[in-house]
Amino acid sequence: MLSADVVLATALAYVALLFVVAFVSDRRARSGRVGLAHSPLVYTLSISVYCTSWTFYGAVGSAARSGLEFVTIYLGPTLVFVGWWFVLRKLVRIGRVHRISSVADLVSSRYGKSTTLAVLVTVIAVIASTPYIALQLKAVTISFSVVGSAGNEAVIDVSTAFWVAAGMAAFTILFGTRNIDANERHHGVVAAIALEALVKLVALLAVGAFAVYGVAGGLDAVFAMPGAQVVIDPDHVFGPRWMTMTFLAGAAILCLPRQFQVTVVENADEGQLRTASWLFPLYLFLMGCSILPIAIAGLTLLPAGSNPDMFVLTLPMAQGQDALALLAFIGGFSSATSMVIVACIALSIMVSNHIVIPVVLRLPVLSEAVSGDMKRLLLISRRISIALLLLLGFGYFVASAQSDALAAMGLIAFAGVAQILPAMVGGLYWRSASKAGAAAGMFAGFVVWMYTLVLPNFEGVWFITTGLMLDGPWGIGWLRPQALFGVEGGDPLVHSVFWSMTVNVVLFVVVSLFREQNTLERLQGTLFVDVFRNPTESEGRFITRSATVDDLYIMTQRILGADEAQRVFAEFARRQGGASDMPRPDAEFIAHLERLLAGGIGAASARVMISQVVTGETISLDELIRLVDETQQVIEYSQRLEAQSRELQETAKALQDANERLRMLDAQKDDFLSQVSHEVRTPMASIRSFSEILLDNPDIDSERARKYLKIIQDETLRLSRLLDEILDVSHLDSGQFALRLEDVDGARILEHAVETCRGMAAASGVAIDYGPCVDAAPVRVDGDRLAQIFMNVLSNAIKYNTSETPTVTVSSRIDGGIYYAYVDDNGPGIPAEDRERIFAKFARGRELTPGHRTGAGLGLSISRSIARMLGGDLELLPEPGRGAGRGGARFRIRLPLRAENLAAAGD
Amino acid sequence: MLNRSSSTKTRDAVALLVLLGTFLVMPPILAVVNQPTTVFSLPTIVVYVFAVWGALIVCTRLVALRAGRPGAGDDERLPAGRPFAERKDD
Repeated sequence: MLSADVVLATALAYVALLFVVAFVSDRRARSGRVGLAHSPLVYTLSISVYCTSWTFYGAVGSAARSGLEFVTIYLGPTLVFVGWWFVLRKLVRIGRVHRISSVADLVSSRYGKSTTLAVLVTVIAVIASTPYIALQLKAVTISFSVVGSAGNEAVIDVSTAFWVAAGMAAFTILFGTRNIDANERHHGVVAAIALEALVKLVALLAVGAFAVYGVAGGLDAVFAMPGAQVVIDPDHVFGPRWMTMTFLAGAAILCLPRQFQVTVVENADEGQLRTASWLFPLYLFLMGCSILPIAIAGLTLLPAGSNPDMFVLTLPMAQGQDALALLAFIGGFSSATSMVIVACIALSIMVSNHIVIPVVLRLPVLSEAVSGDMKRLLLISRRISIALLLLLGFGYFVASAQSDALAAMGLIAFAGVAQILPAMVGGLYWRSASKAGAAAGMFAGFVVWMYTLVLPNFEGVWFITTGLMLDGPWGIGWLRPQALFGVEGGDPLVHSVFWSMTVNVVLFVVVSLFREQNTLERLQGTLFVDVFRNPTESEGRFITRSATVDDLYIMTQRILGADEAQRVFAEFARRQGGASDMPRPDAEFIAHLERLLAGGIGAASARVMISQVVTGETISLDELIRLVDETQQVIEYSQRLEAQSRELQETAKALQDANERLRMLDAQKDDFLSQVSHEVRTPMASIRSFSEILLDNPDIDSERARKYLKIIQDETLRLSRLLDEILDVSHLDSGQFALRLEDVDGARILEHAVETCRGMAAASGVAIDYGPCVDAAPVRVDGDRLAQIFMNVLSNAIKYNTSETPTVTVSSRIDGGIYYAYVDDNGPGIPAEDRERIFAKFARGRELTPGHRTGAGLGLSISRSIARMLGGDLELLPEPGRGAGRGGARFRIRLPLRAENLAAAGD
Repeated sequence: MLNRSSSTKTRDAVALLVLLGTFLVMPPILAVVNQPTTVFSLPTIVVYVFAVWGALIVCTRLVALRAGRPGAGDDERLPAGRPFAERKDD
């Protein structure tokens, strides 16, 4: 059993160790030996200030109550760090380039160095953080009484909390406000919290390992314990609350003032972030690994009703492992103290830079009083803020010590600082995000958050009655804090985050769109959004102003101190290449100075201070903003030019193609004309010669006269047929071909065509056979035209059949709603190279049969065009797989059946 | 073929990891995995969550190492000789 004295002595010894570590590394850093302090490992460990006592003790409690839900608190930050390339890298770069000193400074800087925004963010941060600090004090107090008084946690000794708060205030003031740096770095503090990060990790891993191997005897044995049922069972874990918590944790790792402090402000180079991108998630992973076993073992072994939030301590104690319990206590102590220290530093910087300094600068009386030494004022105001913040946290703790209101405070704080997220991330990527939009969104989101999430926690205090919660203010139902607009039944956290973030984002976007940015906002917006493109030094180019070097020096001295001011001025003078120690006070130097001061007192205050000493401040921002815009315009312009030249190229190519096509058509037309005249000349010649014979020989015998007249008539018929076909072709080509669609039976038409051709076949000695045929083929086509197609194909098959025993076979079938008619012959077949050509105009297959020439070679072309207009096609099928020596061609006519017959055909 | 710069590759790899990671830990996917079965005699859902988490860390480490290699062509690196390059690390 541990006595309270032993616990106290250990805690004091540990605190002493922290002081020594902080002191030594501060000394080393001051003498220029940064060494380990700048290593990515220390950087990563300092980020793990994220794991407060709420995560140390509370995660186990959460696991015991809601199973895997605790994982979300780790998953959110893991995802943000996995995506380091986007938001974090940009934040760190902006933080270094613009010497950002806090999250409030970032937001204010982005939106035209606005003091209003800085104050708003500071207020949100303080309101969200104070109860969180109280929560840490409570955790330390309870854990102390649990370890020191044999598990009796009912005794909450307020004096413990007071001394803890006092100790933390001393440490923070000592190491957190030693100096006003041009960059707000605290090497001593970082070293101490890195050590604390190691201690809490080791402590939690040790208890976890004890739960697995000391208590259960193996990992699978842990999950075989009865307690595992409780932890693994819940069905409701994976839902809106899971998503909300993951989102909140991800937002918190960016927006919490202490996280911003360690991640962005204390960052020394971007390589650190690259390592942290996987090392910090790994740290969280290791922390997360221990939680479940401790929760399960605690649920199984400890008496029912034990506080699951204290399992980390009570589990080793119940097993008689006093040393382990002590280690766990120190681990929890570490997580609480590191959070409080860093949070206080970050908040005190914000309070002094964004509230105290602006007030002093605006009140001439105060301004005069501190005119000599602004630096002292800064340090004192920070020290006082730290003391006040801790006092506030302590008071909050005392006021709510006996209630459970604190337990929920972790997530409530997350939801509060998440209100900063839209303005912050929006400002990094959206050039038009404006100050008015950011202020409106953040303020409204903050109010909704207070109303829906913070207020219900104080049910029964002051004016906040149960009636208000149940019926809404003045009985207005849709204003109930936990059921806005009648949305009820959900988780209060999800409800609050949904409404506050919705209101926040909508106002941010809408107001940004409608309110014009002022010039400084636009300049800052461009510098932030394009931080990887525009080096910040260009700021000096945009703002032209002048001041005397003495005024500048006095002002710098007031903030940075005489030595530092001298160093800065001498260094810049060297860079300008001047002989004296004093630099030329040109625009570039003033911009440099402003940024330097911003690192100490925030961008908004630095700007106010610079403005006070700058004489004849002719900030021709409009002129200079145009410079920024010009780059933008040049980029856009060149992109437009590129697009235009691409378009031109495409147009030229299209013109070339069209020209090519026209040439081809022209050649085809000439071809066609000469073909036509040729075709017309032959019958004309014979008509002329035979009519001349008849005219010249009036006494020719009637037998021969009849014969000649017959020839003349035949040739005339051939001519008119040819002219009909040419007319068809021209109609088909010009799209004026008229079809008379009617419901007909394709099979009948085919039969009729075959019968019509029989006479011609008999004359040529060709036999026409029927293959397998369908009885009926209901199609909707132009019957005469279909007959024309059939007859054309049939007559071709008859005419060009040079076989010994010429045969033409006709068959048909219906398949899948399509009517197929086949015409096969056993002629010589069609050579592969002619397969497409025969469908061209004036193409004639097998020129070897001149004696049978009766057509102009337009038939197949016309037939195919008509078949296609009827929704079908005329094709020459590939050489059928018949036996060698039996060539022949196989034509297929394809037509869709009428729609109403499709269903029947499908069966 | 597009000749993508190293920084573009890093950006794409990181984007892919974030999207995939977010997708894999969203409730619908977890609800599918959340079965009363065991893997290596551990509950499936626990193994799944920690496996996804661990895989994300390993992949991010690979990407970070690749991005940090000398000559990785970080074309957005700050040019030397700028005012903050003379920052005194005190």
